Amino acid sequence: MFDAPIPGMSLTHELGARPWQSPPQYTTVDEAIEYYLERMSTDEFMDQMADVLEMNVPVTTLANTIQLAGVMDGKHTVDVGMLVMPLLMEMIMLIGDNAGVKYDSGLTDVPDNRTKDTLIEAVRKEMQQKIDESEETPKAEEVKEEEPKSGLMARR
Amino acid sequence: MPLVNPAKQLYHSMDIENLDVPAKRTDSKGLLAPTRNPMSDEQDGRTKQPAFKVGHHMLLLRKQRERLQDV
Repeated sequence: MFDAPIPGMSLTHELGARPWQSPPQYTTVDEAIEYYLERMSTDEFMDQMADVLEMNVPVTTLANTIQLAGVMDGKHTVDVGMLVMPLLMEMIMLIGDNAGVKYDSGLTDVPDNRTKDTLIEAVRKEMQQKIDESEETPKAEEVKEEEPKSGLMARR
Repeated sequence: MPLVNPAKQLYHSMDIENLDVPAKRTDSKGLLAPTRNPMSDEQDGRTKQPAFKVGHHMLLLRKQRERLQDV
């Protein structure tokens, strides 16, 4: 939530100072495809990608991140990135299949029933905190003595 | 406003199962064969569309994946 840019933040630098404000390096889809396929075909990239897929990061998220990085580096425009994204997904899935990794494609609507480790850890911490709090508080219950009522309408 | 990842919609909208790649024409090569401009051989320029090119590449990768899954 707090990572979002502040309104007007894009105007704090000179126009053209950012890579995405100057003409892109690859102007056509063909050039962008060639760039990505060449980059993604290296052994180093494939190993890293297989590791990330093993961590259960969805393919959709990875593809979006890769194309977004391309836009921010000034490699291509946003629209070329949008066109190329399905190809990136297919390529990532191919890398996953090639490495024999069971990956999450991110294409299914139905959430898997597996409970995330982070969620379990969060619940465990919360429970532990509650236990600690209950142990710290004294258990002695004060019994309040009823004060005698002295009003006009008080019962005798 | 939450950031939206359009990857899922884009992937589904490619519809590469129904992507029909036009077969290459094999014209006769005789001296009397009618000459044809290869540039005008395109079917309404569909194959020049960027989305078609991406779909074609995807189809190749998909076939490769299916081959891997079969093995």
